[in-house]
Amino acid sequence: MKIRKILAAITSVALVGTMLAGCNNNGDSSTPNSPANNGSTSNGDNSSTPAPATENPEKDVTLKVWYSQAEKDMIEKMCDEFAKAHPDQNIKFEYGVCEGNNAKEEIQKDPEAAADVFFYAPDHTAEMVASKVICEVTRNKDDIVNRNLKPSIDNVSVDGKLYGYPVNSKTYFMYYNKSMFTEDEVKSLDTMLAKDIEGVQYNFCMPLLDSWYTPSVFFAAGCNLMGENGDDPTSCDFNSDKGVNAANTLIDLFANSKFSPDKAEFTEQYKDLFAQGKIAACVIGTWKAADFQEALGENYGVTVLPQITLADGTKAQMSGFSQYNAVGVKAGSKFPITAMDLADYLTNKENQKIRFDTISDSPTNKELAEDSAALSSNAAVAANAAQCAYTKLQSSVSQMGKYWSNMDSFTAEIKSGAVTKDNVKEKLDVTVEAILSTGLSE
Amino acid sequence: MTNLDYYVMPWYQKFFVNIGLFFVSVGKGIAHFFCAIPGAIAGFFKMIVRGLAWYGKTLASGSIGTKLSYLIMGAGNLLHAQFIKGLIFLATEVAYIWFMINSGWTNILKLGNLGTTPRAEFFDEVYGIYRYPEEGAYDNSMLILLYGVFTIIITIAFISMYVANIKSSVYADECKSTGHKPPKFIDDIKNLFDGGFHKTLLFLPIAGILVFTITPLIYMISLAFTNYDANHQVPGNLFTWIGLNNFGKLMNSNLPLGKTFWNLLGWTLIWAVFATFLNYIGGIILALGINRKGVPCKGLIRTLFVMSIAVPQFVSLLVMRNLLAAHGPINETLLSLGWIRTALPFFTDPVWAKVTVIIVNLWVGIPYTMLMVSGILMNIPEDLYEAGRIDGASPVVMFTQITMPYILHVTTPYLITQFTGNINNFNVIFFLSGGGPETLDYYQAGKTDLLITWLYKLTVNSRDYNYAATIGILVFIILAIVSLVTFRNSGSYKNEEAFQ
Amino acid sequence: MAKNYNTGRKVASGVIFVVLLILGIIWILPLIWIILSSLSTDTGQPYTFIPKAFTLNNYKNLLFDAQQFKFVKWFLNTLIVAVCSCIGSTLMVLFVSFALSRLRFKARKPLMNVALILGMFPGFMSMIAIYYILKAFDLTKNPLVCLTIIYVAGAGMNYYIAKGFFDTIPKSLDEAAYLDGATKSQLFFKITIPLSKPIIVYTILTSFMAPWGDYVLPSLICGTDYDSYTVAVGMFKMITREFISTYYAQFAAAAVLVSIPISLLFIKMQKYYVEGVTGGAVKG
Repeated sequence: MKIRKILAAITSVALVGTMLAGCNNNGDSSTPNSPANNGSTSNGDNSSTPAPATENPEKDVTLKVWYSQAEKDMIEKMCDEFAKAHPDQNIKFEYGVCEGNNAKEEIQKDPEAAADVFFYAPDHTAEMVASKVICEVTRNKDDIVNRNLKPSIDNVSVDGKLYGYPVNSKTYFMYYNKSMFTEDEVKSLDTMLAKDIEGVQYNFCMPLLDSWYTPSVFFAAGCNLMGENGDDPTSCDFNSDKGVNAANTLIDLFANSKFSPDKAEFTEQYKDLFAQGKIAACVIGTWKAADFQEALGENYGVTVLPQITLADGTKAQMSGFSQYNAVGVKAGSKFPITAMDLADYLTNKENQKIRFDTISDSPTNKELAEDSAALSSNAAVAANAAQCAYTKLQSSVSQMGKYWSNMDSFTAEIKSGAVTKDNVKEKLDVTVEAILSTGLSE
Repeated sequence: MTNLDYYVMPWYQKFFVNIGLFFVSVGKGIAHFFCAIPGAIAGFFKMIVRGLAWYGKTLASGSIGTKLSYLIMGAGNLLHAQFIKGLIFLATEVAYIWFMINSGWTNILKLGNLGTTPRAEFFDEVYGIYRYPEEGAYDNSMLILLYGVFTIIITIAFISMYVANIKSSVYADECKSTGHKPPKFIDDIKNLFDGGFHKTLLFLPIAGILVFTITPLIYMISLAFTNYDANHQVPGNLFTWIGLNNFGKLMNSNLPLGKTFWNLLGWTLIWAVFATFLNYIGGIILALGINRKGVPCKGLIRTLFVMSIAVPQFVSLLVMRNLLAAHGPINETLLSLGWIRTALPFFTDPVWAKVTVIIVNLWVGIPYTMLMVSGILMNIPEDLYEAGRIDGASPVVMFTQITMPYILHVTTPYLITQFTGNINNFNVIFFLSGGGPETLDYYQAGKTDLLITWLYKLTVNSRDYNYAATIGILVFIILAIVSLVTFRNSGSYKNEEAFQ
Repeated sequence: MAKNYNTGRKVASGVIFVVLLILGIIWILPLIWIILSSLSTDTGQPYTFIPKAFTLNNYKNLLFDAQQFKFVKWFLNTLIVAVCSCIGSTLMVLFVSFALSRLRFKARKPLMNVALILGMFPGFMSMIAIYYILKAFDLTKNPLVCLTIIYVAGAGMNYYIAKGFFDTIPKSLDEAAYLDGATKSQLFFKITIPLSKPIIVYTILTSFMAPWGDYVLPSLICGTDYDSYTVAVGMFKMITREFISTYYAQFAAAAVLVSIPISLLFIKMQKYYVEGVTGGAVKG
């Protein structure tokens, strides 16, 4: 309301102040006063007539929902179903398009105009909590915690408080061309890279220049990021001996002409490269499953990441980040109860099943995730689940904000040749220092 | 060096002399700029003092109406039967006072510490959820700052109205005492289309610039003196004034931030010099080639080049980026031809990336220079050549003595705007390399980032608004000095009226 | 001797022509490549210059399948913004440049210096402030209105080239008009404007073209309001990670569709563009 007052004042001052006042249309200076919004009236009702906690006092509700454009139809349908399931309420929806990765930025830009319910990437949890734009999950919390996998809950919790409704799990695993590798060969990266296949440019592609993928080698070598459980913002041992070992492995790998270290944006070409027979295997997540299936046809193969031989000669299973995306509710939503119910609904078992069926999403719902019969119908989701056993949870502490760009820089410098086996320790020290720095003051 | 020395020089020497002079004048300009600051401040205070003296004197000597206008705006005009004008002044005063009481005064008061009550949730026992206070029930430092700046701008506008009110009353008094009739409202309106036509013309543009350029700008400049960084994000946190700390951090090359700043400043200047002069030279050569007598199909060739700039820039830059990508057509073709073994590191190797952006910028920029130089070539007065021919000058002499000097002379201002434009050339870097390759040496920046793209990354990626604002101010100071100096030295500013 | 000289000249011209032609082809190659990829049957990012097979499907999908990308809507949005802002901006520019060129008043030089200084601040920082100012006016729900207002409001600062043009109109015309009893507004509307066709065309065309290529500001203002995107924001979205593998060819098609009208305009206005840019500079 303060804004409106200022506006009214400004308009009148501006109009009146037309230097020597050439305008007569003073009628314009009356600012349109929009009717009192529903939110404040219904809030007023709340305080005067407290209803029992189970009943939702929000009757005329308008909820704004952000979704990824690719999921438009699916989410809108789910929202309609939600409205149908609540006949006592008059629920209207407004939609906006916002990818999970951008949700933090958009909501911080203008919290007031932001969506009530939105999808977001878990590594932004702590930052959103710090700037108080996301609501703690309290309503129906026990059920949410019980029905979802534990790591998915941990991924969106800060200091033991839950801030999101887990919706899917994402990690990366390997797709390969069955006509080029046998099921035995794909178990070892050495074997895969050693093989000579005609017409193939790269035996193995992985976007290792992207910091989301880099930990697969560091974790394989036994390193930890943000402590063992990913909740200690002061700890990162990538510059230990183990880290040096991992970095040396990366240096060797980058130098291998049969391996292509890519930036994440180049993964878009994997489909075409598969179709052309130019690559034999690549690493990426479930979202490419349909593309690759189309490109490879009956040669479509999918499995967990292979074993890698580290620089010091030991063999280790390649690891990686597992990320559990979630739905959040905006702090300060005018209809928090309905918004929370909607978020709850969008991530329940039935809707996770729909997501699994329509867009190959890997579920976080325990019953779905443990139903191996259902999962095996989708090889990629099955591989995703299998790979999750080897991965570490992608930390959600706000310090992660420093991790991404600095790790990108480190691998970019390996690629450009600035990091060599001689200076790798110093470079890792710089990287770790930058990852753990808490601001610019020191 | 005398004028004569200059005129007998070959054109290329003149060119270097011009460049030399340019940098000399930049130096001089910087000196002038800083020397002018005390003068400007003194002038400002002199103006204030003079204004206050006038204010006091008029109060003492003015008529009843004028004296009344000091308190009640428009009173003087009302007493002289200038009703509409008087009422407008009165309405302005009422609106301003109403605004100040309602929110203006709080806006200004809160500017002092940018708010004290952070957004805090409270637990709603009945429904078992957290609720948050309504907008306005807590302090949002960002909005406080913005509205504070806005209030100040409104206050300044009001003060100018207030002064106009007194002046208007004094003028009406004068008219009365000399026996004229004070101007009627209709006369004022008429005046707005004649003597005061500039007010009518400039009112909307200035209002627009005041609201959408100057207010945001002052807001931005203020941010440089706050701690609005990644750790102080609204609405959950408050930020406050911290003085010149940010400037200190940015200038200190021992800190990651300062190191990044100086390195990027260096690259920005290198980039601007290469991008400007290579484009300039390339464009001139191209234009000379196309406009050479005897070259066929001029129109066709020119159209080929013009096509490339007619396409929206972000499209052509993204296309270039895809062409040069690690698995893009150029690399793939070369690989399949067997000419290279590994993909060329167009955007992954720092040196390659720097060269790549400069070369692609040539692709973008040369046609512009070519177009302009073509225009100039057609405009060279034919009698100059005629005179040359009569003197028996060879084509080479005519070229070095007439064509080149003319082009250089005419395009100097263009060269300067290009130089400042390239320092702020966001598009080419943002769409082409995105600042990459990333490096551990810099804070939140890659090897090809310019200051301006770094600034953008700081606001979008790490939300360090305070540092971004500080960089913005420093970039501005560099540009302001360069362009004020060169603009002042350019003929069009000095001999503005020469052609009228 | 003279004959040798002439043949030498002809040979030189021929060589220059060939070099220029090759350069011209190099310059145009990326554009040809984008046209080719818009016709490709592969919908993803190409890695060859010439597609394996040609089809018009990408155009068809782009125009008629609004499932993911509402290109037609975005195109119309941009057109609306471009038309409105070019009318507003042109008026603003003409007002300011006429006032600064033909009228004399106390604040003239300071205003010119201030405009020059303002143009040198990097605009990105203030974009979020602009957003909140527009929000205070309750406009942010209509991103297209916001964009138009921002473009028009800032247009006055780009007076430099038009002022250079007005400066070249002989002052004697003004004096003659004043002698005939014309007011300053009459001078502006009846004498100066009719003489200023090239610069008006130049201003209209440049301000019309600006919204088509602007990305950063519209992406902030439009935010999550998908239906209000401009083509630049929408097309950038087409080549983000999620979509590029399926929509690159459509992006190329969109690029071609946007570029055709803009290029035609630009090629038409070349003459005015050159006059505009050199007009200010010729006086040097």
